[in-house]
Amino acid sequence: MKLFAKAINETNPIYFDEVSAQEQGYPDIIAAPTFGTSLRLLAPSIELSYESLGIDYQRLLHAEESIEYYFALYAGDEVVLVSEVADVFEKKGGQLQFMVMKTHIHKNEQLAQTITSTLVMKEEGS
Amino acid sequence: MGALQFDLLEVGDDLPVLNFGEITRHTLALYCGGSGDHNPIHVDSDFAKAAGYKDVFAHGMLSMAVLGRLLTQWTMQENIKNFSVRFMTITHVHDRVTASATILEKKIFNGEQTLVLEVRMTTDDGTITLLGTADIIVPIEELS
Repeated sequence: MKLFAKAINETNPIYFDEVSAQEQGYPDIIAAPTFGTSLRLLAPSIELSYESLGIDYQRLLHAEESIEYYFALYAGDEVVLVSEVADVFEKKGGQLQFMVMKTHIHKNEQLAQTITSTLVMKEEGS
Repeated sequence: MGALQFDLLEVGDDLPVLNFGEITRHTLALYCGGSGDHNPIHVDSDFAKAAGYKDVFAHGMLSMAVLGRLLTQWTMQENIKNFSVRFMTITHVHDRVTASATILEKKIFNGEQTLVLEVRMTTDDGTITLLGTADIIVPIEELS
């Protein structure tokens, strides 16, 4: 989380300094609005890895991202992520293949965030 | 950060912009590690060229994260209810980028004072790389 904050030049210390976060009334440093997507990428599960889904990094682009927020996430939280391939479709006669991945992040058995990621793979050579 | 006052905000108002500056190779390396997005296309020029690109380009989610900073420098993060973007075009390494937003709509939704923002990332030549919306709650108690 601290490296994430550094990469985006975050200046608000509630995102990288425990003491500042606690002084502001938070239990610990706060997960930035888009950090949930990183949780999906960093999660140890291998079942929905890009490799297992046959995604080729050379042809991959991100088309859309949508996040619904219900509860905040803090450092130290225990979270459970459930991801599913929600849709697969093609455009331009198959030149573009889309995959919609939905990830639910649960904390204390309550839904904290739902992330919908739309990825697109270009046909080889296109 | 001062509390937002729903009554004083109008459709068409702009949020204070966030000038991120240049997307350097160092930015991309830090974000690769910090985000868990290890796609080499963002950090390895050889890989990017083999894939047909001129050079490495920024993670879409890096731009969305900068847009997130624009929102959280304006309101408390817990007031963000939805944040959605479309990635319009690639942000190249060395591009200088700015996050901006405008109030699209003011409404009471489910009993809550809600602002719908249009959010966007722009490069210095005016290209919009990300375009989307954010739904922001302005808590009633903040009005006191």
